[in-house]
Amino acid sequence: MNAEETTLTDSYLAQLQEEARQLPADQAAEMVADIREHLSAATAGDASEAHTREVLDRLGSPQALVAEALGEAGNAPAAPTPPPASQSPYADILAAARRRATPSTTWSGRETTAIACLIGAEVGIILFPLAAGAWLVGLISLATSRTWTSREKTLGGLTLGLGFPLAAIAAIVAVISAQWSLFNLGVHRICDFGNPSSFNSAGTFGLGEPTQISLCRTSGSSSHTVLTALAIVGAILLVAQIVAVWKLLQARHRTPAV
Amino acid sequence: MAPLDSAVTQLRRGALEYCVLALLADEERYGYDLVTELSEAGLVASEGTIYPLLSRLRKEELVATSWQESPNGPPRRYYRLTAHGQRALASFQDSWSDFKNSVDQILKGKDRR
Repeated sequence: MNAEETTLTDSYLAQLQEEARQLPADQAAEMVADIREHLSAATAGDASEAHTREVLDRLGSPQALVAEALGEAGNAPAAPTPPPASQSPYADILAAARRRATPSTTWSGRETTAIACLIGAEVGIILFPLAAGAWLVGLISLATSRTWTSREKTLGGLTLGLGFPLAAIAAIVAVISAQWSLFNLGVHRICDFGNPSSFNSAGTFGLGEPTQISLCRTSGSSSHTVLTALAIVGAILLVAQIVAVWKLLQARHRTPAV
Repeated sequence: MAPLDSAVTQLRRGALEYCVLALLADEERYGYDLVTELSEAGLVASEGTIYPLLSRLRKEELVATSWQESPNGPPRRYYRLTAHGQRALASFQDSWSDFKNSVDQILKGKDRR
């Protein structure tokens, strides 16, 4: 695209921007972005001046576009319906649809809350009740977001949402294995105190050396295995969460700035 | 496009959004594709006026949009029909059918009284 065509479309967009000041800011921004996208797509194949003029002609004047947008905004009841009396059904549909709350598709505090709470819940696992509360708030915010698509919500739920439960499980296992270690220490003391040789020589204790060793070893190694497994799962989940947060943050660009 | 009499213009306006929904019934489309198809079908005078309509349909949750990467250039808006939009379209198709038949009958001069 050479300077001619760039100037043509830029000039059009500038006029549109000016005209669109009659509209609410977010609507104006959206319209200009849509038209910019349209012009970019329309001139992609042929960027000559002649074609660009043709595209702009077909597009309509900035005044016409903004008038239409104003008309849509003021169009609270149904668009003009055809005469026959029996044709109220789709007017009713339109009216019912308009009665619904107007969702904002822009990034809002809800999205920030969702991400912050879900991450906070897994990081702040030590403060368990607080973390649990944050986790619930985060999940609800995620689910009720109006910016994210269902797919994005599912992604967020499966990655960020699982962080807290996983951290909770890890914490519980850590506590249990710590208690096992203390128990082990106790067992060791008993084991050492009544050492194998003395047992064997006594001959009456069932506790032979192999059993003792397996008792002392099993609990240690099994919690060790579980923690290792959790660490691996945690690492994978962490990577998944980083990817998820990155994707969810893409929604910030969803209402293009002018 | 030649100037139209206001009744037909009104009909067009009323039907236009359902035409948008119908175009999305089978597949998701880029905004630009929707606009050019409607324009080629002669349903709009100026292509740009479809964008406010699309914006309203989005607000009313009859359509939903997502951003798709495009091979040449910035991400583009991709439109799809929502469940709500599907129901609205189905309802309109019935209404339109009845309306069309009623008007046709009268225009053909059949006495309905």
